[in-house]
Amino acid sequence: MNELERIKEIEREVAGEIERARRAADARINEIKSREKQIIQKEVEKAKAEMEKKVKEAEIKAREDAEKIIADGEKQVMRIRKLASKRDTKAIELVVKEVKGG
Amino acid sequence: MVEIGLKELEARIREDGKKEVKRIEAETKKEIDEIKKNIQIRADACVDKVRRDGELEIEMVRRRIIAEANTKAKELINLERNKLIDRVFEEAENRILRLDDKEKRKILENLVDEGKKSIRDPIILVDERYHSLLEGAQPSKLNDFGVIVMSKDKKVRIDNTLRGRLQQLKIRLKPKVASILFAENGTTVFDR
Repeated sequence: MNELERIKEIEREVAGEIERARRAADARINEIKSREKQIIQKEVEKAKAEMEKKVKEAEIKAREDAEKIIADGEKQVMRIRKLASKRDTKAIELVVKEVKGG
Repeated sequence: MVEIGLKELEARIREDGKKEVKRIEAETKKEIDEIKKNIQIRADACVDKVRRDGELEIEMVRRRIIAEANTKAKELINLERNKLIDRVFEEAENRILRLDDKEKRKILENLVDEGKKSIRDPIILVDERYHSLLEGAQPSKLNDFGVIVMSKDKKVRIDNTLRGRLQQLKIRLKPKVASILFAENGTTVFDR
């Protein structure tokens, strides 16, 4: 092999290495691009799971608060029942008086 | 000299090749980092939307549950209120039915007089049970205390039976009865 051919051989060898490096780079880039949808999907699924958990927790909390509201309503019912029992005579008398009065 | 020159050239070619490979790798890393950054930006935007939708759903779920509870509590209170008011009118009916004949007669006469304000020379119908209490009235099967005042041609009819009167009175007196039963510091429990 003369010197010129040796140089050309080295150049081909180096060009091959560069080409391999380019192909590897393209492969890595294409690989990451092809995973974009998957990566986003994974993050979205994670966020959805978190939010579903939060919605359930909020629902439990709201139901607890709702029970308190209804219990308060029931207390008010007892209170007005008690109040009315002390005053119903006056109310009945009013109605009777109206009927009598014609 | 020629031999040394070729070796140097060979080394330079290899060195340049290595530099190019390194440059490609560095460019690739930079590009991948940029792609990853953009993917993360898009992912963050999607995640933000999921979170915003979730927060909205939380708010809606809470509002719906609390609104249902408030409605149920109000219904409970209104139901009890109406029940207690109805009871007043039922008890008033019972008290009237328990009055002695003298008082019943007076009420019947008042109901007739009231009917006569609208109908001249009317026919008066009274239940058979109370017929003896009201002169000039025709016995009928009203199945109720009170009278029906009717024009002779039967075109005009006033229902002055006790249940009819109480129904009319209920419309008029309900706020007053509610006020007597439930008023607190000048307002009813339900005004609040």
